Amino acid sequence: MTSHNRYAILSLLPYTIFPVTMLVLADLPLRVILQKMLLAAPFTLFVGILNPFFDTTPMLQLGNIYLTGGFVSFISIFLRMFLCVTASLLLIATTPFHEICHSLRRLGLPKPFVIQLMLLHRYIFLLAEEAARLIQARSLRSFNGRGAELRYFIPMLGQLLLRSMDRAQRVHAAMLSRGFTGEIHLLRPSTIKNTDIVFVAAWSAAFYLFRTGIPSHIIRRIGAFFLT
Amino acid sequence: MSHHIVEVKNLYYRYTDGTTALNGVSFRITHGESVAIVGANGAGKSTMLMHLNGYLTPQTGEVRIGDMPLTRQTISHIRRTVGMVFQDPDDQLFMPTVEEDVAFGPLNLGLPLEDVNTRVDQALKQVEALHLKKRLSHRLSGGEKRRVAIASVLAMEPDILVLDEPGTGLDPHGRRLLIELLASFRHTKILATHDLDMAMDLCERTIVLHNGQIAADGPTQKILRDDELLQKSHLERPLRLQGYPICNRGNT
Repeated sequence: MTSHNRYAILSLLPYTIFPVTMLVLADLPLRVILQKMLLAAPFTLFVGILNPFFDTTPMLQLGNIYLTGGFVSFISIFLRMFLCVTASLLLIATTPFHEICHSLRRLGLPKPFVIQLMLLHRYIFLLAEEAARLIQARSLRSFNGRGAELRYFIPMLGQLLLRSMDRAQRVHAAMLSRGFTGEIHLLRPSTIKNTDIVFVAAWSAAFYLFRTGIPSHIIRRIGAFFLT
Repeated sequence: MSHHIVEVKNLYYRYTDGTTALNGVSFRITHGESVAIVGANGAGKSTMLMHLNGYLTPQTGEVRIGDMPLTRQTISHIRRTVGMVFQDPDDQLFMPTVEEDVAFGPLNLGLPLEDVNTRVDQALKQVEALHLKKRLSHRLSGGEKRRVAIASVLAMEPDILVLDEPGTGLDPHGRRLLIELLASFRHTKILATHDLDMAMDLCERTIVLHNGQIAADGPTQKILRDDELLQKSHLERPLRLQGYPICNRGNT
């Protein structure tokens, strides 16, 4: 997708078939996906917001409205964001995290990184619970906003760090006591099925086709037919 | 079978901040025994247990498991012999799924995959948790986590089981199931706990720790009736031995 030029809109459009199909096939709630996507939207907004001001050469004519190059590249950035974010959200929504980790390992990501990711995902929930307990303990003893100032926040953060370090030590003890010598052996991940190969091959073929620009050329033709 | 013996001789341990946790502890636990280690908070129970599978090495004194003294050279063998169940199952279940967690130990022993799989199934069956095999560790209930944590240790096929407060966080029914489960094991068992009723159910022998020293070592039934000793060690009679508490209160 990054290989398309900065003003590409039409040639990016065919790619939207991927998230839409996946969304339908996996029977995911559209609302949830869109909500999560909004989280990423502000970042793109800041990246692209200045483009219309800097790049004012007219690029596109729709009826009697002229769009400047800045606007076109802004829309292009937004489309790219939409495609990237939905693709990653769909991956997370359809695949358990530890299977993603196993697959990353198979794709050749170094083991230490994979294990970091696994442990991060395992303990991030506990960390959040721990933090929530600290905040609850504070709010139960603070009145009229007193005790909620920043200077109390810092020792709390320190407390959280200390607790996590203690836990890390206990986890390490538990690992050692089960024969850990610095190497984590992973159980064989799930095997690849014929349908998986077809899935990957079909989508790769489709993306290749989109990249050649033939589908966007057809869209352009149809668009031109209706506009004139 | 001499390798099931746990022997601690004159053990001292002082933390870096200067607190003395163990102040000359000696005992010997023989094959098949089931021993409760009881004592107030900070009496040194956890420090004691940490020595039994070599997470801490003795500063002075000696720990012997079977015929072997605990040293850097023997540590991996000792960890295979002594299975340690930690107090907080969340510390022990660090792999994403139950299956992977139980397989962690056997894989570290370098067993072939088929053996690992049979051990995982066996261990989970023993704690009646086979149905949890594919579940995610952090989504289990407290009782389920506890049972899986025990399975993850059983999968190493240890001769000696060391359990730190196995009953914490369990509801009464879960606690009762755990007691039945532990009673069914034939391992040498060492159990640190505040739950003196559990100690009575599971252990014929009790060691009382107080301020890093052994205050008493003898038959559970005798020790848990010794009011003077219990009071001195910041303990009290198990509920079951208190008779009718309301009537008793009037007498004291």
